[in-house]
Amino acid sequence: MKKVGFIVLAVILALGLVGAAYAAFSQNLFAQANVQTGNVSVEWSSNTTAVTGNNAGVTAGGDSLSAAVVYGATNATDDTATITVSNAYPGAWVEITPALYNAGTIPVTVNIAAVSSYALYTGDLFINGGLPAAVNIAPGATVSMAPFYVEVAPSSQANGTTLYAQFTLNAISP
Amino acid sequence: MKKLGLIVLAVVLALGLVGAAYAYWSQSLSINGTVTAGTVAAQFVSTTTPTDPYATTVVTYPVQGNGYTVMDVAVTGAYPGMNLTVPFEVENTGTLPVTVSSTQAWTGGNATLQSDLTVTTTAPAGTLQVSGAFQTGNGNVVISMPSSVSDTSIENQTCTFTVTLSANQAH
Repeated sequence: MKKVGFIVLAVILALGLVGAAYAAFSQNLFAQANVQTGNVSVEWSSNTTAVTGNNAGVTAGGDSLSAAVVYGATNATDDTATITVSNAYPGAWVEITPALYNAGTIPVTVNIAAVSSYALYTGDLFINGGLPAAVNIAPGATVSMAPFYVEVAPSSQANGTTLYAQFTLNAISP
Repeated sequence: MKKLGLIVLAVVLALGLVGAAYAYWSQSLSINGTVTAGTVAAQFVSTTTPTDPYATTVVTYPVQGNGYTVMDVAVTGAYPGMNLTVPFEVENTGTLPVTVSSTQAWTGGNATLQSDLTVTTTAPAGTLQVSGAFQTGNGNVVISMPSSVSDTSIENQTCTFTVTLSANQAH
């Protein structure tokens, strides 16, 4: 009987201790966070230039050679620029100096690539010397790439015609 | 008969003694007890706001009924490769020493972004005393996005989470 009483006393003491532990005062603080991502967005800048010329010894066509650049809409998925070469003739070239604007919120590395259609792939035009190296552009900045040359092929039968070349942008976050 | 008289005398004397005892002057002293419970209370103390080249962080502490018990963190422009440490400071404003622990839960927004973010909370270490040098403690919330994230669907998306800091009475 004495042993049972001792056990009951021990259980009561143990429960009392547990009760005390759970009864401790506490208070909560809250850190509430809202995280919004930025975006990658690069556009052709109107500072892009297209200057025409022709190789030495090439006889210019009867009409005046000209080139123009048409850009995709800004803030859109159309990242292309189309080079229009009017009154083309073999040996004529267009020196293009791309200028690109980072309209996004983070820095990007950008290169350009030719779209697999148009005169570049029919053989009437070719890129003489390759495309410029990629450039890094900070948010809100405009950077000009090294110039590159789009030339009318000597074998082209495009005398006096209009030729098109199209380029697109590839931008990645560093 | 003589014996009986002796007994009566003894009883009378005994009763007289008892009567005398009850007739003594007396005074009572009293102890009045008042017990007021202590408090466990803590609040945020304004601290530095993190800086990042491309992400912007705004931290505010709206006043609550029980002090600055909420810290609102707004991060805009988060990006792959971001590693943002948001510091916080907790002050023990109660009457009892406390220890602080933390839990974190997503509360809404883009689920893909949630899976691409890593949030780690470090609660103030040790016991925050009721006064003195150890009345406050520092912790932080680290919000990061691995640079390997390439899913562009999370651009311009938002998600939210809450870190609950429990200030518990130190035993």
